[in-house]
Amino acid sequence: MKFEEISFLPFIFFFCSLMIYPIILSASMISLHDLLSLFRSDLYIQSLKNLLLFTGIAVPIKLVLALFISGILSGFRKNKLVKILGIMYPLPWAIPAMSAALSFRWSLDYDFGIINKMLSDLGLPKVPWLLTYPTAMLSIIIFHVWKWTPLWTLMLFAARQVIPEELYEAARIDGASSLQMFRNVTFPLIKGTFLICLLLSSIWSMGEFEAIWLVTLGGPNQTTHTITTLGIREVFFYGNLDKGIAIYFSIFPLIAALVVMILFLLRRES
Amino acid sequence: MKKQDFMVSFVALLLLLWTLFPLYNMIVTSLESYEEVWKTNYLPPKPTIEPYLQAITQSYWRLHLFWMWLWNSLRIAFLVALTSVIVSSLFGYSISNKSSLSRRVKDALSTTSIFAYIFPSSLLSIPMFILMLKYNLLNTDVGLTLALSILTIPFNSWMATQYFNEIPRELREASQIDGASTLTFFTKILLPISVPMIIAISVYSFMFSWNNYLYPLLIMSSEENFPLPIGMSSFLSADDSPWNIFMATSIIYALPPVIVYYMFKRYLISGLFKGAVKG
Repeated sequence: MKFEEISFLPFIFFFCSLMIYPIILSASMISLHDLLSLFRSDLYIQSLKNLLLFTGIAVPIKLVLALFISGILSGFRKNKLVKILGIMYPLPWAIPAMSAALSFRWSLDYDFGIINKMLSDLGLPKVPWLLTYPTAMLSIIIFHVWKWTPLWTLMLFAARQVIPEELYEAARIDGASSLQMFRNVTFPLIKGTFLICLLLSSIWSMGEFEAIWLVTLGGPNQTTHTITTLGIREVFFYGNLDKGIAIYFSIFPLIAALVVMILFLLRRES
Repeated sequence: MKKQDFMVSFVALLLLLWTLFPLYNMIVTSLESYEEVWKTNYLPPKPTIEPYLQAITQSYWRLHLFWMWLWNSLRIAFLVALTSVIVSSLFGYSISNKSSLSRRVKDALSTTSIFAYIFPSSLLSIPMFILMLKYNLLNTDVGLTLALSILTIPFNSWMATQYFNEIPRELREASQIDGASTLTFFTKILLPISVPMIIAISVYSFMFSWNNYLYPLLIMSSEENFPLPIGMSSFLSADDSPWNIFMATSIIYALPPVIVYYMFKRYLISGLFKGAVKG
């Protein structure tokens, strides 16, 4: 037995014992009764709606922003401010969610937050950011977009780097506008990466925990929970493992479908 | 052309403000005294480092274990980085080697690692909690290290595979002619020239574990074992709210990953880039 033929075994051991086994272990704890009773719970239905709302809004914003920022970063390298942006834009990704979320909470404070101060200095009404359902959801989405856009910017920026410069020169000679260049040169070439980013971002957004837990803690009145935070709430606050597991497994089919789609796409790409 | 340049600068400026705004808010508040905090200033009128001192001298009661929590965070992050480097580089060595395994096995293995990478880490948290409960690993370093390791290993294995794939085969063949075993080749030749990859994996794992909140929240239950972010949890529901101290602590907590990121950016980005381009 050669060393290289068995050196993947630690990975398999970790994967089976820390990923597959816990999932099987917890799957065996689900009862049909728990699963069915979820759908009679208003809180669960609300959380499921929030999950879809959150993913449906946050993912397109993140990816369009990332597409835009990566375009600026790779198209205008000589501009001074773009250079600074190129250095600074990954900061939200590097900063721990806890630090950033505390800062968001503080800046969104109704009475003393800097955002409401700015609004009232501009003569606008104060916004009850974390105190009503729609604005609290908005705050969560803003935080999530702030924190995670850099990752997708990085991915799309990388994808743009392999596009040969000659293609743009040829397009320029033909008198193409920047919009035309994007539509006919850039996008077709980064479409594959973009699609993968879109799916990955959807999956991971569905698992988003910190943006909700740290910014609103599910409040006001438990209205902003998603499936992830609802499950953790059951386990962490009430020690209700069975229920937490049932909540998590109820969205596994959705996640599994998305995972299979990505694996299929990746296979086709390579 | 001039007009376009102006527009680009303007947009870049807006994006910079958007990126830096939470940091600005943190820094301003962290430099204020408790009384100033409630006046919501755009800039601290009389900057003071008092809030930082209160955090690091542990004189604020919610932070009475500040240094212990910081040490816990640091220790766990190092353990995770170490575990991840070992497991991932071994995996990468196996997969990147032309002669070792059949194509089908390799495909299955890389699909497995990609699957593990794609799976949302938070959805594994309750199953992980149940596993730790069953094997008495709750509230232990081992438990938390294992949990965070499995979350970083898939991506790191991918980085390692990409890196090893680019190392010329001749190197391997030459060492074989000289009579080196594959184990010797791996430890004496391959790893030493893979320092950039090892740095990328370590930095990614360090940042991931240092920043993670969900797993220590579930796994660690006694105060002495908390990493820093869990110790800071009590800030979330505080009513007395000395926001200047909260913000000072947030900055101290955010510094290590930011410093590490900028120090090793080159390695990290090339690792991430390869993944993204190939992906």
